Amino acid sequence: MIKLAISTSAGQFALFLGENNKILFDSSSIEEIQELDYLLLQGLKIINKKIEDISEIIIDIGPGGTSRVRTGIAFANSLAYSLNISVCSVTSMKLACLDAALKYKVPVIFSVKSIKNNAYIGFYNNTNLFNNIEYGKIIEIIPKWIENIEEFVVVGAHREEIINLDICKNKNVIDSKMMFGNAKILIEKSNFFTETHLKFPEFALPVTEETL
Amino acid sequence: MKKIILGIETSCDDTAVALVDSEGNILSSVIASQLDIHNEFGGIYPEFAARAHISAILPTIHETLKKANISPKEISAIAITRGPGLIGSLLVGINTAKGLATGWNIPLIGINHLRGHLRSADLEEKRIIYPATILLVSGGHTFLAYMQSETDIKLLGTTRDDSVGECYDKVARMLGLGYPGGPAIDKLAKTGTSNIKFPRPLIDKGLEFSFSGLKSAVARYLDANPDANKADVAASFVETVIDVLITKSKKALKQFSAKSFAMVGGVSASPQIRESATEMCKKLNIAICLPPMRWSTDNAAMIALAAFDYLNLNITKPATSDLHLTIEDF
Repeated sequence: MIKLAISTSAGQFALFLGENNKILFDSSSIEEIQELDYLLLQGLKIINKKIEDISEIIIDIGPGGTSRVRTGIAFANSLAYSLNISVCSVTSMKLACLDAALKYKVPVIFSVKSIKNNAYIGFYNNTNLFNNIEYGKIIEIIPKWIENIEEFVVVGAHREEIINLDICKNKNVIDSKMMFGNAKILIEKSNFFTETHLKFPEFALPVTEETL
Repeated sequence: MKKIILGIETSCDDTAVALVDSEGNILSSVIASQLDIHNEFGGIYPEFAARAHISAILPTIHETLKKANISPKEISAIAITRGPGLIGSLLVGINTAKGLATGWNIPLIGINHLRGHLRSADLEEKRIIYPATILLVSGGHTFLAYMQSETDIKLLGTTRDDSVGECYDKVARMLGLGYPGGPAIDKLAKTGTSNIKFPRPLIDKGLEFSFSGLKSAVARYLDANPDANKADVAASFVETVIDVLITKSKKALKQFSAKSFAMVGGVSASPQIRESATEMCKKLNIAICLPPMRWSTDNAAMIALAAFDYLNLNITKPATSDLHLTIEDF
């Protein structure tokens, strides 16, 4: 059965179709139209599958560009409802942190800009456990997380700010140079995203400062 | 067999879903209101509106189908409001509709919200006799239009600035009456006397409207008269609004030959405005069409009904958001 993964929190819409952790269709091959329904139908046509062949939808619920995130979630939720299948919701933080953790094999800190100098900040210390997500100021949140850690990698919008924190001076802080995670891992590492399978009347909702 | 359309409307602060058949019968209509969310801001907060839509939309769709006992297989098409409206709210509705249409493999039609409002006058029964002059008065829009038929529409005049509903909400806030302001001002106005002369911008000029000056005039009056009787302010404000709306409507009816006059949109639920419009039509010997109050405000039944016009004309507009649609656009 086919899995559909949608990530809209980064710059462009990313839509993947895959089977057994292998990507069969990647929407980056179609650049002219950025509409999810069009991308999905084109993808199904290319891999010679039907809409009914989709058995699960994995959706990136942000944080990220608010309108784009809601666009992806609204589409994923209603498609899942219409097909009577479940939606697996994954935060953009988990996606980015898992991507970085698999590459660097050290704990990860990920941040997304928000209003009034606040940030969504995530901390991930191994591939099975997503430790923490908080909303607030970098300077107030990060020091308590990294007190007892000597090495970690930073991902997201505040990499430089985190590297320059006083508490990081004697630590080995790796700059991943990544703003977001690669959404391909929603398919390729889908076995890591098993905790939030939602079927109507449950459905995915975007990450906001209220939902953390 | 009658065709059934699922209408979805999320252009502003109500998540509305309805099932309507090709004869205009409403099989079910469910509206999830966001009044409690926006009340504390004294107006609509767009970010919170979009958030509330995404929480409410699937349960509202599910309830609508359940109430009508209709299965997706019986639905011929989905009609979705594509604009004008708040972009965040529109995107939630549009992409939800796209997901459903893709999953159910049925057509999706993007509908102009304003055309939906005009068609609300024909919900449940045919009321409009064509040609007709239509006054749309709501929180987002104020205009006069001339309709030769359901689909042949000419814009006669619109507002240059605020809509009448926006003006109502702002004045209600000045008077400490909460949101939405319309019903509260109308109620208070009934207890007061219209003894303050507020300006009537553009009243003698064409068929265009302007309400920002009226709003400012009320603000200035309240600044200069902090102990003013609020009921008198409300009564004077309502009388000014009615004077402007009725004067312009009369002018339109004299310039363009019409068999009926229809008033639609949320502000048309005002009892005072309804009474004045009815009186005007009686004097001019013209039929008045007022949709039931429940179809005056935003709803999805009007979107579904408008979709049948699109289907009849073979017009297939994509479900792509467009914030700048006018009443003449599809």
